[in-house]
Amino acid sequence: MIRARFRDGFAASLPIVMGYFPIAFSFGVAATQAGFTGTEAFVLSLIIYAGASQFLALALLTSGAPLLVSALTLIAMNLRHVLYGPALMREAGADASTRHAWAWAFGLTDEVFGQALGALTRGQKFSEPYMFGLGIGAYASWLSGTAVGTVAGGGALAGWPAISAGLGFMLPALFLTLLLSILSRRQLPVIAIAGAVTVAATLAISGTSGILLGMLAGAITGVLRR
Amino acid sequence: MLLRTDRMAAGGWLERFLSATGPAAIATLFIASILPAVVPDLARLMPLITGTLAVLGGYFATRSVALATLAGAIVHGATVWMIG
Repeated sequence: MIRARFRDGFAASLPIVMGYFPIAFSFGVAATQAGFTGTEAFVLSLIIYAGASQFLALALLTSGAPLLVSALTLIAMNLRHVLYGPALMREAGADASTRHAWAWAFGLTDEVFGQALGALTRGQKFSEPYMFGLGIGAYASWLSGTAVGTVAGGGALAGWPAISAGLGFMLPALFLTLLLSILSRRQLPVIAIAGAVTVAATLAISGTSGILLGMLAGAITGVLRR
Repeated sequence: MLLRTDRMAAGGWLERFLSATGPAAIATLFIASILPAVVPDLARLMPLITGTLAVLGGYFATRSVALATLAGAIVHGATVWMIG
């Protein structure tokens, strides 16, 4: 069986590219409207490269949350990524090369992991060039979307308040859509408790407390609910 | 590898905690993002209402995260434009 090449991976990344760009765009808009410079927003995408977590980072940092608390919260939210490497290599087989894993593993987002795993389960032979093609396509889309979003949200549309308002609503709209996409009977108590505690804690204490306590309450609900 | 994730018990408390963290975070972020816009003024509240309805309608019609988000943003902006 011929190993998939870099360009095969890049071609496979195209659906991810189309999905990432608008979300990264909304992040760029949200970041600049929250007071970050275009460069800061771009660097957040460059280093963190984790969708919902970047929005969470924005919310925590702009509400004045301590850096250590913000970092630990983001780590907890992204801990599932620790499982992606082993799961992928288990499917890749014992003879799969991991010589450059230190580089392509950075690109193992949920979607890249899903695409790569799907290819392996369909019988494709594992190759690191393929992983690079897949990861670079997705990463480039994320970075370019952020860059364009920072331009749109950084004041370029100041003369068009309706467009600016619409862009400002992209973030809540995205969160609501993501909620709908993960909504299930199992997660309903988690979501309901997290939402209720967020409202109560925000009104009673602060926005930062609302976010942190809401997340914690939701996660604990998940533990208690078998 | 270091965490020996293969030893994490399926359905164990740690797995339930981690799998609940994502949905909890997204729910929290949604509430935190709309809370400042919830005011006792219908004119100012209307863009939020129409935008939210557009997201719901867009998602159930297309099941697309990108399209539903875009629909909500467009309707929200259009409402702001119409109200003036």
